[in-house]
Amino acid sequence: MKIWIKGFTGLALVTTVFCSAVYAEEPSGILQKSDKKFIPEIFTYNMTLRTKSADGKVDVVDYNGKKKHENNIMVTLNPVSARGQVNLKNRNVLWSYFPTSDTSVKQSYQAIILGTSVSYGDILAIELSRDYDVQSTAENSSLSNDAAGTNMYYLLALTPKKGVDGYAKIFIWINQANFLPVRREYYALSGLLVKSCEIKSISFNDKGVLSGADELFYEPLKKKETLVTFSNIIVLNDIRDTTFNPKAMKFFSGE
Amino acid sequence: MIRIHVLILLIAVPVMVFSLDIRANVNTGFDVQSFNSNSGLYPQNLLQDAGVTNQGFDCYVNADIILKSAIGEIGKGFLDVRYTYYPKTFITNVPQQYFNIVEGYADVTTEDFLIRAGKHFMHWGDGAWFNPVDIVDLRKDPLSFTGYNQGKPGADVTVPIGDFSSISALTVVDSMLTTNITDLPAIFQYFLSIDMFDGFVFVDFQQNYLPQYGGNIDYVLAVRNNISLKLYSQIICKENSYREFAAETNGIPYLENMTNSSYIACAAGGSLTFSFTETPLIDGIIIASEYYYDSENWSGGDYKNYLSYIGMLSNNNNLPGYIAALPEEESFRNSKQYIYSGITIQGLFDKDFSLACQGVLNIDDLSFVVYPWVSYQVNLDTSISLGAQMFYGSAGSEFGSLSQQYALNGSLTVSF
Repeated sequence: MKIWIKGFTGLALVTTVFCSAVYAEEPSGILQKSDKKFIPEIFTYNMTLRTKSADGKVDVVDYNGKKKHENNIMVTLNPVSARGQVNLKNRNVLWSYFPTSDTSVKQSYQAIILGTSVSYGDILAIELSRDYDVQSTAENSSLSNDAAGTNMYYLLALTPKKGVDGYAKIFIWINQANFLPVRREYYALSGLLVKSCEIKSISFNDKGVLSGADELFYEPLKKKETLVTFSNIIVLNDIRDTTFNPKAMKFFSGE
Repeated sequence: MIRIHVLILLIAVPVMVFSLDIRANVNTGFDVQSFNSNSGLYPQNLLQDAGVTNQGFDCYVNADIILKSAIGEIGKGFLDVRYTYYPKTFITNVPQQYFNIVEGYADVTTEDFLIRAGKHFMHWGDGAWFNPVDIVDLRKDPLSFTGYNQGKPGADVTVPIGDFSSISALTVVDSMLTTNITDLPAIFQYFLSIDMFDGFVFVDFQQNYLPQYGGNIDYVLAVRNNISLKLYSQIICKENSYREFAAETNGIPYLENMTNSSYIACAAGGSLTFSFTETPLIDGIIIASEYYYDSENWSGGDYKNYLSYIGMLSNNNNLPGYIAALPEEESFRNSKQYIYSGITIQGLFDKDFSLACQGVLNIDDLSFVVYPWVSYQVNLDTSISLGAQMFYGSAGSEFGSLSQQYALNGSLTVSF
């Protein structure tokens, strides 16, 4: 009997350790863990896009937004000419609403937001694990801009999930110590680097919940950069699903 | 109309007493058009006989003051008042300056229902040019520039169901069909969005008319990482028509009511959107095409009879009859079938530069209109645009019988 108990206990331990090891190395698990660590499930926020063009021109776009799971809605506050425009991610579909014509249109994931170097997908679909599969992973990768070389990173290669619009491939570096993303590179089908994003800073409040973040997107071809700043983050228990209904955009356009 | 404006102000102004968000747009521009004083629609310069002379050039300044305010958690008011000044107008017997309310409405936004009441923009349908299901804004002229558009008085009560569906009840004041409150339609719409599909069905009840009903569906597909395809179609069925058409007996044309027992209109089309991420020379291209059929529309023969009727009134110097007959003709409703095509190029050579060219072909008489347009975004709050409308067709065709052969429009818009 004792041998049975020892044997069963040993088997359970081995199984647990094995499963833990598999989970730890499960690439999609790393991406999901990183998203969960970085981005709250349900929250409201302000977002500022500060775009600097090659000619030095600076454009600023402000939004306030609400995000719940895969849904995300952003109302434009500035520029004045676009105030009241609404961008919505409703499950896998990106929408824009234009109040001066009462028109809702579905947006392409890679369509550029006017005057910026970010696309609708870049700022609405902020949890990559929802829209991308992990194709490969490497541990103990380094980053060229990590001068001290003290951090080790997971390097994941992502491709869009079946039926989901997106970049042909994304490489993301995730700090192995805290699972926070550090850098992303976005590639076209040809393999050309079309955009990069450095996560310049991430801050958390006393409860360990995200309170702010700065992400710097850079388009090497167009020599244009956009600093995306999240601020005024308020984590909530729930937001009504109706907030993310495409027909409700009209009524939120004036917020 | 004055009563409607007063009602809008009564609703909107108290709302504004609370916290105000104020902004403004200034839009200035010019229009140039050729003028044929003896075209099919304007024979023997009848308009000039009515005291209307065409100058071929106008210029204007629009200044919008936009006020917005929230009330508590669920209320909101919006008011857009426009002052328009024409230093020079196309035609002589119109006011050179006036105020109007472009939009003025109040919103109530609760977790269970959403209400908008007042004058506001309404639009239905996914059509790029033709939207026969757009029963809430039927009389919008697709050729009118955005700056001329105004909201329509009406009310919309929407009950959203989760994040994928909704039921709406609406009413809207139509300038031709609404003379008193009992003429207001009761329109019900059900909307559904499932993954890449979305669509709606509706039914419209109105006194003195049998119900009209229809629907719209669209589907978006990511063809490749940087190419998306949108397909859509819409249909409306009705059993009454408010229109008249020109018939002819023994060579004498006359107007009479449409007499068919039912009418069907439909539009179907698609657009391809290309996003260019691998070149700094261009951001995107959108190519669209659309087919439109409407059994309520005049045929090419009806249009010719109408021109004969207009010509007869002209020959008889019957100016009142001519003025009364002019509204019977509606743009883009003079053929049973039309085809629309368009291309838009975004960020060509400069991210702030866009151009587009659209065209509509009347299949019955093969006349067509071409509408090229360019715009430059000086900064996020300042834009410049230049557009043209060029009309081609034989003398008795829809686009060949207009008073214009071409029209140009340039404008500068600044928001602050």
